[in-house]
Amino acid sequence: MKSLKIILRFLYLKLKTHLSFRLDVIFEIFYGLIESLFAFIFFEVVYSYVNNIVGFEKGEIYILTGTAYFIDGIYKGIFGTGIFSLSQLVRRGRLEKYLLRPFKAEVLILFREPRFDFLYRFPSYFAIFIYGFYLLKKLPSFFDFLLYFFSFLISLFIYLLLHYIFVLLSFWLIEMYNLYYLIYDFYEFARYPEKIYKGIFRKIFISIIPIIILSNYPVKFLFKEGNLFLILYELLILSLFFIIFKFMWDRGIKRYEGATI
Amino acid sequence: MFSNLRKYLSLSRVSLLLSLQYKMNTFFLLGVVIVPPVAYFFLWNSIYHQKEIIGNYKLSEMITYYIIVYLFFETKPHAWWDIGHSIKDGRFSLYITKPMNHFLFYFFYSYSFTILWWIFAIFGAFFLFIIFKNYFVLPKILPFFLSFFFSFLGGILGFTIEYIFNLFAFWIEKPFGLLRFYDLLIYFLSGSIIPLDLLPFKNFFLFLPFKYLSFFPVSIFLGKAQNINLFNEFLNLILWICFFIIISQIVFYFGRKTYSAPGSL
Repeated sequence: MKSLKIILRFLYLKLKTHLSFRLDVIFEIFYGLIESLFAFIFFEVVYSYVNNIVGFEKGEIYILTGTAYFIDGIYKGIFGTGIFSLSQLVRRGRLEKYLLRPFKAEVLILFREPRFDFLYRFPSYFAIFIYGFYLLKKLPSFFDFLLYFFSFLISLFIYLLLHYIFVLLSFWLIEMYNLYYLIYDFYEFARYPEKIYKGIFRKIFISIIPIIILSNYPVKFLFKEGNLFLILYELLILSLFFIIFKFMWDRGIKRYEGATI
Repeated sequence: MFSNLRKYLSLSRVSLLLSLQYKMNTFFLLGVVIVPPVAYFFLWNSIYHQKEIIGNYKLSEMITYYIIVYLFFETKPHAWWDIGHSIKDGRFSLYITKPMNHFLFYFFYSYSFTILWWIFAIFGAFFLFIIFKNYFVLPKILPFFLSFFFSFLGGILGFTIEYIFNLFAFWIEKPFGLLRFYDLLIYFLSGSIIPLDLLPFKNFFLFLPFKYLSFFPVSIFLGKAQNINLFNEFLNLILWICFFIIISQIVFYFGRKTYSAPGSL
């Protein structure tokens, strides 16, 4: 309990420091606005030519887009920088700073550097999400929304572990930060409906690098297309990724050599 | 300004050697050239199932558009955020004591650093061409070279504008929100998200200089610039570059006066 209080206090101080840079905060809000605006313009142009994309109406695509932004935004805002910093900690030999603390180092690294700038973008993501429902003119039931939220959380942790596994390669590769950005490139696949993908790409991005499912599976529950199998599949992927992560972490720590006193 | 080019060429050599240090890391940058166009392929392919032509683009033209846009836009040298960082933490003092022009220093450094990346990226685009050869529009020889030439000049323009934005660090306490905002804005205005001629108010977007960063060179590649006087466009682009270089030197001049070497050196 005391540790939690310290963490919350620490986060509060960090937020306060960040808010003192007012102009920076304003630009971050603008960033969120134009990010959503550009997605809006893109789909408005597309939907001015067609009525749907593989059965996805305009409202549905905005709900999918909003969900994809939320997953990415929460990940980057809370865990992204911390996970990314692991490669630097390993390269500079500073990881023992965390290994020696009376807390799980792999968890501590997750919360190492929260970036509040992503929080300011959430209202615009929320706006595009709500606009989707406005266009659809129907709301999901409370139970459907609960399942959506549950599936959303699993997706978030799959996304997190996917990044973490890639970054863990820094125990073996000296300089690899561009490999880490590769996941962000793959995330482009999460922004569009699952049904557009065909062939080998579909198989890869549903199973090996399961980017497509991250945003598509949660929204299925909002469109009455969800079922228990989707949740089970997400849980299976999550468990597999966790096993791979744990294996790589343990091996990586054994391989690690510190450089500090 | 150009009196002693040798020192900048030496700097370029050092920068190139630095980029060769971690070749595998540079290789992974390929993802940004290869992955998004693949996602766009699937998206547009499903859209074109319902309509044969969107705007004045056929499916093959649209797919080629995204492959070449990502090749041109993502391989542009950047006026690194390091400029803004160095102003904030006092490392900028190291540059003003060097007998070098600050703009040219970063210009040569950045361009050389991206040479290896360019080579990898062209292979990446070629890989996409092999995968999507049925959807790829092969250009004629002259438009092919002209598109690369305009993309190169567009890169100089983009670098100069980004450099100016970095210099705002002289006045702003924390310029990184502004730089992120600029990055995304330019991504859209250059036509990297959607072709500019599909947008409403397209004349406005085509008037802005940002079209030279991606949209215009790709239009030449696709053979869609046949009715445009390329010499006039060339002059226009050169004027924009000169305009922004002058602005950058003015901003640098006034910014340097406000600089107080914060941080410890």
